[in-house]
Amino acid sequence: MEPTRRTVSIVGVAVILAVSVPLFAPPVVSFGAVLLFGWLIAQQLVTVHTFQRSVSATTVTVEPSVSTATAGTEVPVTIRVERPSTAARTKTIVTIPLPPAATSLPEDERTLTLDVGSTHATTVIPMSVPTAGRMQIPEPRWELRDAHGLFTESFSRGPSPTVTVDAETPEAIHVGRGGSELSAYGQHPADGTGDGLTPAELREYIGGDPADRIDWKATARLPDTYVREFDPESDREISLVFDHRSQTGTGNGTPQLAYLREVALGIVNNAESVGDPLGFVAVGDDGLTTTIPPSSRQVSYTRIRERLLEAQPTPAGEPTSTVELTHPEASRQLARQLANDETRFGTILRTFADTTTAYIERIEADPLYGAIEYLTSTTANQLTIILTTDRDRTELRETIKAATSGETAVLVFLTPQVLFDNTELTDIEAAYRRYHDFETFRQDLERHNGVVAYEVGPRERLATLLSVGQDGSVTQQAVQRGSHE
Amino acid sequence: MSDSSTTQPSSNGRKQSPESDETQATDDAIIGTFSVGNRTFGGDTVIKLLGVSWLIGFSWLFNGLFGIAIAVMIGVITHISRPVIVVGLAHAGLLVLYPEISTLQAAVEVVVFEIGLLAILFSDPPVEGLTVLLTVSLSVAFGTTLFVIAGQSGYWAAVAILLFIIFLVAFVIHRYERVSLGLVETETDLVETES
Repeated sequence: MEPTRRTVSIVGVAVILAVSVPLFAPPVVSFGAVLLFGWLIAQQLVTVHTFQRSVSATTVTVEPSVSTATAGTEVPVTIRVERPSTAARTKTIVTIPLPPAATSLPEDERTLTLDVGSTHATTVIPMSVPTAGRMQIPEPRWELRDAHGLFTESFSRGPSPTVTVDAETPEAIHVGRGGSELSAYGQHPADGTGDGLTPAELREYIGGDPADRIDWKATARLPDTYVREFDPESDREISLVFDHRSQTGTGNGTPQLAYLREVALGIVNNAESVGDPLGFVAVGDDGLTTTIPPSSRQVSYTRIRERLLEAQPTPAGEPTSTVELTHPEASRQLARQLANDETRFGTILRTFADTTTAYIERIEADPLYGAIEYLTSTTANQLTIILTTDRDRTELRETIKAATSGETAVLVFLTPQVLFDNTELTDIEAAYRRYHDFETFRQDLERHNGVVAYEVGPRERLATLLSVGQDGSVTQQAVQRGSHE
Repeated sequence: MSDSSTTQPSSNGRKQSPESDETQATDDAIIGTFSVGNRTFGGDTVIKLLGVSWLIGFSWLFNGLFGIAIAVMIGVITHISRPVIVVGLAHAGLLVLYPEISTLQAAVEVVVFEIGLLAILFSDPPVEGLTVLLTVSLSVAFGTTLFVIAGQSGYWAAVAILLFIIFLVAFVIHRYERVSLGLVETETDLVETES
């Protein structure tokens, strides 16, 4: 409970009257002093009572029209303040703070005022969040004023709904090898179908199948040799290395990051469905921005999804601020704490917390390689999945070599630069040659033991490239042939 | 989450004017409105007029034309200022009329003036019975405290002690309000927040 300027001025008059008593001797002015003080204390007591009644009887509802939205779209949020007429003796002002990442709106557009005697008010504010993530609308901020304008009280209380903002997803995504599309990504090759206990199906023997897989009874019954397949029972530990360096921000319309994120989300969903323990390492330009140890707990999958949705290309070059937040959680916590702070200082600090990139571990030379080193030293994972671009191929080759140094299998999802150039495919043959060059590189990566590499990109652009390739001097068959070599 | 908004976004997606029921909450108010012919007066105006009339009448009775002049000045200030300020300034006027309260008659006259000033003080809407009762009770309590201590230790000590008591009471009420509204973090809250 804070006194207003009016209260302070009344107290001032009363104090002057009280001090005048010993100065002027006659006690007549003391009557004025005790009357004013008596009235003020009485008003304070009555105000406490009305504040209590108003707070307990007033209902504030904050309802986003949807619980999930796409980044950049407007989400209408309905705010309603209701109270019975018996609790309408205070002026109540309710302001809805926006999530730190949301596009700012003037405070008066987010404020509902119930004057003395008013019982309800409703408004709809258009909330727009340009970045993906789980956005929690902070608790409404209340300000109560008594009918005489003598005392105020302010606090934050009420519903704090969450809106999940999904990143803009690429409409047509291609994931495959050598132009051939993979039907479902994220289903890692858990040694084919052979390590489980539940029999699945029979299939003809293919050269290279282990002899102990041959189903001798079926082979005796049938004219050919057959092997028994089993449903995979995978509990292999997977580590997801997600590259969100500045180079993933390029793309013709939709950035490479969006494609990599889509694949990564598919992998997380698949790991969750089969119960694979999944770890996560996010790589920024200057080091590791997120590390989540492998776990098959629900909360861990959710955290990884949230981090993927929040991921943005990190800024390249020198940092814009000399101040560093040492841990990403520190910046998120700071942003949460400042969500209700509408002061100029709070706004600036919140902007800093939102935009600055915090690194768990700074790696100056080669952050992707550093991520593999980090994994090698901290986990004993059996499958490493790397999602990155093919921009720095030498670095990538070294990274994959390091990743396969143990018994670890490696899946690599690459966004070829040629599929994300900002220019149109004017020189189609040159573009095709670049794609062919990428394909050679991809196959070269697969020569490492236990490595499978996929390309990720816009399906339409790849189809254009390949269709021209079929007619032009460089044919798709060449690429396909290359992929079988 | 539900789509149960009572108003829809405007075409530009911006703010809607809040709806409100202008239901004046006057359950506990002790005054209503009064009609004279076609004109309707608010209860606060009537009380204010009664208070000023009371002051003018008794000023004329006790102090003649000089008293009327002081009372009219108070009436003018009442018209242009808030009642609580009028009460403060009116006591300066009383100081002119009663530089000394040495007789019982003077004391009675001052009390009669105070009744008129109380009427002006309570003309500030909303006027509630509880506020009137508390104001009178607290004023009597504070006044008694002041004069008892003044009789024993002098006015300076009395004023100092009275101010201390008043600010202590105000602070206790403030803390009670914070606790009753759940705005004070307890140790349990802090532990829960940290965990």
